[in-house]
Amino acid sequence: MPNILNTALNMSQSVLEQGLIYALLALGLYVSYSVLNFPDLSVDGTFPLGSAVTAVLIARGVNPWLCLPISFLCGAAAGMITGVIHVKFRVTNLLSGILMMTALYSVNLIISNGSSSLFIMSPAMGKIFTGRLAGVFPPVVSKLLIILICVAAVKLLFDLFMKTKCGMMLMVCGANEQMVKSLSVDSGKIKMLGLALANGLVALSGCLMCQYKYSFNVGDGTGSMVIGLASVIIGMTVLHKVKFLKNTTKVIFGSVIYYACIKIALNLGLPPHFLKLIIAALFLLMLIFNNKILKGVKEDA
Amino acid sequence: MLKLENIYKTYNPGLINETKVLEDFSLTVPKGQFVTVIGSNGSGKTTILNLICGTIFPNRGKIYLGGKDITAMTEYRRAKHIGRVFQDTQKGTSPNMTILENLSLADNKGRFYGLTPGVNRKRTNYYKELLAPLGLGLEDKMNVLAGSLSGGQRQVLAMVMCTMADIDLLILDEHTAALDPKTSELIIELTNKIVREKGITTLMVTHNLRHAVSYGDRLIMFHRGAAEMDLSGEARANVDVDDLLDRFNHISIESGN
Repeated sequence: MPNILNTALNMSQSVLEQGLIYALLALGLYVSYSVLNFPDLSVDGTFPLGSAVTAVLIARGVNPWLCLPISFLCGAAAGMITGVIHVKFRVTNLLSGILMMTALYSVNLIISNGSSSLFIMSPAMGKIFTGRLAGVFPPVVSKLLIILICVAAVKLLFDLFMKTKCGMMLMVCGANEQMVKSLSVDSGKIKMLGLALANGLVALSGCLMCQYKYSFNVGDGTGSMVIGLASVIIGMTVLHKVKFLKNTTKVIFGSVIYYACIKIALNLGLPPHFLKLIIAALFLLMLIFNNKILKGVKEDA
Repeated sequence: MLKLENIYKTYNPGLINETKVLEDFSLTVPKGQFVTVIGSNGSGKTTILNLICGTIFPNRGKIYLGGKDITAMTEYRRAKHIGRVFQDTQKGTSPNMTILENLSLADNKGRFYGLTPGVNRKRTNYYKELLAPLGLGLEDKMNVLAGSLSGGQRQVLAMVMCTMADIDLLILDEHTAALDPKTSELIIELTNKIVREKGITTLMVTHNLRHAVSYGDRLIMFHRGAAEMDLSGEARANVDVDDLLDRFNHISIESGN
């Protein structure tokens, strides 16, 4: 009996850990999809971009904490380019993302010097989970606490940003682009900025995941958009009546819930290569559920 | 002062659906004048508004605002000097933000939207003072999302946001057309009040002939890309809705409608 309990505890801990790491990915999707109203597919490339950059930097002895802002900036640069393709060259939003995602696949391999996976297993290669901060906490929960600190810090900074004039402009741009122009602001620049922020967050998530799993894999990014978007929609749907929670909080909860669902499905005995199928099926379920709830809300009104 | 000089505008040039909308069109609106513009569909009214606002650009000709050549200026740069209220009541406000947030953003127009707080609570009372005289009770709904307001309320909010900053020109693009008759009357009254109080140069396009004759100092009727009628002063004062209808019918018969 204690064995089962132990397994369950271990499982819920790893669900929390990975769910929280994916929460940053979900926050990125929240920015592009929900705030900016831009279906951005470049995230499938920027998530492993964050991982690749991190794996290479750590192997070269760069401080693992420093990898976080560097990954963010790399992702932001990629997002910015997606924005430029869309705004300056007038390519549709969907295609701009697909172009960027495709290009990034090679870019990620270039960064990893051609290898499709890199490992940062050696204890000599510092990870944020093995550093001095990790030593402060009891070893069992140190990973979880470090992830929690990172996610909480990012969330708080993001919430602060959304209250600034610049952040509010992002919100306006997604809801009413004409108003951005009417306020004498270049809506193209706002979109580029939003995409940079979104992909920066996604790459940051990739960076944390790389340090958590001790590895980078070029295929890791496939389905990032679906995972992130599913988390956003779950968070907003399941918790849509909870008025006192901020959207960002709901998205973080959504990510943990979604990851838990995947974990449960896998633990019901499905082999790991069913993963992407489960991801897609769960997302479809959520979309159907979401449409039902939204319909219900409309009929109420 | 607004000046359009020898404007040419052709849609789809060289194609089978080529449409010449404006040919050698000129218009001068002195500072502070309130112009009402009427005209049937396809007469070129909207094209002219879009040219002035920079949504589209002329093939030839020059546009001046306040003595400055703005012909090649992008829409968002012009918006610093031009306020526009649309027929679509959704276009003037951001539905996912409260009245207070919408007003705060409009209050910052022309300045940098950086990393300072978006809402300055100290200005709340000033915003309330702007809204209170309009009599819609919007001043008590500062924390209500703009998206949950009625079309009329949103249009009033859009008007206030448009005229908050000092602008050289106000463009009203059939801004009462999507509203019910009662709200439409309310908005047109408020429009007149705001325009007169601030003395803003204004171009108001409307399909409501009574509004066209009752408000403004000058009336222009467009037909086939030209001013078929351009009345000001006494001639403008003596015109009534029936005169306009007669002229409209006359034009329609001419063009075989």
